[in-house]
Amino acid sequence: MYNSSLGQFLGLFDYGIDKSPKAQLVKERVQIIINWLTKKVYRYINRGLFERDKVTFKLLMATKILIKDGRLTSADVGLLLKAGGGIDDRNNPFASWMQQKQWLNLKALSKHKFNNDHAMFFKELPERINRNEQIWKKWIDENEPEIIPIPDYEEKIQSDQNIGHFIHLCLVRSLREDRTVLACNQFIRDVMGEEYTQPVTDQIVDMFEESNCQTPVLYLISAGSDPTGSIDEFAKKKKKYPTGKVSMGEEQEIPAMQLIDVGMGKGDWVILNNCHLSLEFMAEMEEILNPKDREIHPEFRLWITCEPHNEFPLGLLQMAIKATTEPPQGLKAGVSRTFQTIVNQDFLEKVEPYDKWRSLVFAICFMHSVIQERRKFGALGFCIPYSFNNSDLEASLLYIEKHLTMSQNLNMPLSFKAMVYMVSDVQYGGRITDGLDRELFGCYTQLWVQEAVFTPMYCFNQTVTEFNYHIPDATEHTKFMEYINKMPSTDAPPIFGLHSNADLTFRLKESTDMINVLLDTQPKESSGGGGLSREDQVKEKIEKELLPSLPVDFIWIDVVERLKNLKGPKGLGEPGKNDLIPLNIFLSQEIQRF
Amino acid sequence: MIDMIDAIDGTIIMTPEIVDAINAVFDFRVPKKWQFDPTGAEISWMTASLAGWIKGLGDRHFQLNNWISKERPPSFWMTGFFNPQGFLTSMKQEVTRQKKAQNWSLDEVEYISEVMKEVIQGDDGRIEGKQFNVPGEGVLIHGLFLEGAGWNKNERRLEDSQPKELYYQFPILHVSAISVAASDKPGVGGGNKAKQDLANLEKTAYKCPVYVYPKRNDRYLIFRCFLKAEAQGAPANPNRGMTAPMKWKLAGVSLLCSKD
Repeated sequence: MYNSSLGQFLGLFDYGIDKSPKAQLVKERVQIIINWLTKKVYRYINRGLFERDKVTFKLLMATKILIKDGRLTSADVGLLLKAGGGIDDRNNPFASWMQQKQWLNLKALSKHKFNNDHAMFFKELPERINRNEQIWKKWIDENEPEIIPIPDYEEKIQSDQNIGHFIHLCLVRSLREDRTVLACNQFIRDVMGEEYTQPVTDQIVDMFEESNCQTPVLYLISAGSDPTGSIDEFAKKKKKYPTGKVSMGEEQEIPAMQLIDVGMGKGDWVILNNCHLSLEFMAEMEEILNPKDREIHPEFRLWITCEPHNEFPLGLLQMAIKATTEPPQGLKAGVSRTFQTIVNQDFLEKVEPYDKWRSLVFAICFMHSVIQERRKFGALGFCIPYSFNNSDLEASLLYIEKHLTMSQNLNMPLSFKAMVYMVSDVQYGGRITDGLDRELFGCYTQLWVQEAVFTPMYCFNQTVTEFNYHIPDATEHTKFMEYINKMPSTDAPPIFGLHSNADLTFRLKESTDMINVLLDTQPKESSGGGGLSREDQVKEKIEKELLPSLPVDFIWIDVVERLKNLKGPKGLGEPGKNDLIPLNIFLSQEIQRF
Repeated sequence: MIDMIDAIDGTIIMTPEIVDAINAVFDFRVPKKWQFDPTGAEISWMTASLAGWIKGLGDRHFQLNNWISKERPPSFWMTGFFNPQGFLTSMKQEVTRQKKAQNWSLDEVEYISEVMKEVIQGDDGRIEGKQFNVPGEGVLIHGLFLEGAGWNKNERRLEDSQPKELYYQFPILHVSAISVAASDKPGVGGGNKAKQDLANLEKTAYKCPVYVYPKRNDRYLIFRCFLKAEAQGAPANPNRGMTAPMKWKLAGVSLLCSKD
């Protein structure tokens, strides 16, 4: 979904030459254009990226600039990405406290020649660590090593004007992979400037100015976010309200076409929602927006919202202005969103007994956000990342509403067992395919759908010290909102029941994901450092390192013979027929597969 | 690999597959063809880096070769099997046959496990020169890592992990089997009592899943073993209704055969 075209770049290029400040000297003018264009391109692309890909893109941009400047080589970038992945050395002298992976990275680092003409920068690194073991260990164990001066090398790195920041990044990546993303941000800031690491929010008005009657604005949406409201608001300002809206899907092409037709004539705005549901129509869009036989009213605008889809037509992607909308992350944002969209004052007063209803509503909404946020921990969170959505929440609340009403009318006690079952096995459970995830989910519901939630100020998790997560003792919707706004904006793992180390797992995952994306996007044809071509390097590696380390093949006839006399456990098998002992059969199968 | 060299030298024709493989080796990654057969089924092990794969190849060969040419190893390196589930099933079968006299039947047999004290360090599964008390029934397995919790060796129970310690090298695990058949059959052994014991464990111990890779899913689940969840007489969890097994469940605790 991230495709853009040369046409778009040329557009930006012309725009840049027109709009950037003028200067007397040619040299100065060129510099201004370069800076201006870099920034513009960054903003343009960045706007259309999902949050998770933004750092990756910026890192790519920063390294590319340094390579073009001749300050880095692609081999340097290779080192950053691959680190110690290619070597095997089991003699880790610091095995007592350093992981094997860190040692291999360190080794690769110590052998690397940055930018070809540098001497091996970290040649003495293993030795220095050996001499200053305590200091290094302390640095590696720091919570935020990327902002702490590096032992022994700090001055040397600082004094390297050209690529000191890159060397620093490589070191952090090698020894503390989990901090890579944060170190990247530092590096990007050093290379590109402060403004590239600040979060940018692009206003609709900016995109509107770049768009025209033939260039649609394409919103990449993700569950829980919908830009339609803000477009409408903007339309009111521009006197284009009401806008024509079609939610795409089967048979919706005709009304959509009609709206576009009218809009093109009168200069109205059209919003097409959920366009991933009618990709064929999207493929025609390019032609529709470039009609041969008519003029389009210059005030006509087309807004498209769409979930990312692999088969979305390229042509449209390459001509549209892209922007992403993502719901803000975190428990606070999650609960807050639910209380703005699903729960309101009427809802809180819907069912008797009110106090119990309110407690349960808050507990379920809270749980809903917890399970959604838990996904970010990868396999440690859930085995499979399920996409729970608002309808699961609504269905659960609806059931609880019915159950409460029923018990009120028939004067029966509440059955928590029934509620837990409906929520965890039927409503949410319908999505869960892994047995262990189901057990996990059951734990949450058993904890947070029980009699105890009716006690005043029920606390969700007593072991969390950072913040007292409890059910607010309130009747007003506004009071609930006040409480939600007090919640911390970053969540500590214990509220999910996870150990604080889970944050480390999460960061590590974030870093490796980023590195893998970068590896995939590296150009394949470039020749590496040292004058050897890719192929020759691979050949050399295979011949010198890989082939010699291969074990000898098993010879099947030998194996069969030996199996017959391989002893089993006490009391099983007889000499010559031992190949029928279960574990020996297993062994033969394993060897066969080898 | 030979293909790759030949293709580079120009002796055979460069196919897209070989180009892919060359690119992978250049990036220190494992070529697809080594890990999946043409139908997409896994034929070897998943590792992040090429060096890890080659090392795995050597270590796996080492274990199988030792087993076939010398004798059954005292403790098995779980990571080194293609089919660890099959390994345990075979073990179950063996124990059942050993108990032939007591009329055990394979479909009424469950796994039981006990955590030993010794830890085998390192992740290459090599155990030469180490002494073990080989059990009469069942097998010893090693090479597991505990994720999400720490391990108290003295009391042999789960405990909170230390800061920054993501994985713990897990001690040797003794896995065996027990019959849970209703004991109206004479002389079965185990029987009702074993069933009752398992049910009790279910309540007090954490039923920890054992996976092949950190990427957890059904296919990589080998079996589940009970781990002691709390110290004797530990104070009740301050969260009402939260039992010790639930705590570890929420913490996502599991045993893994490999770290990456």
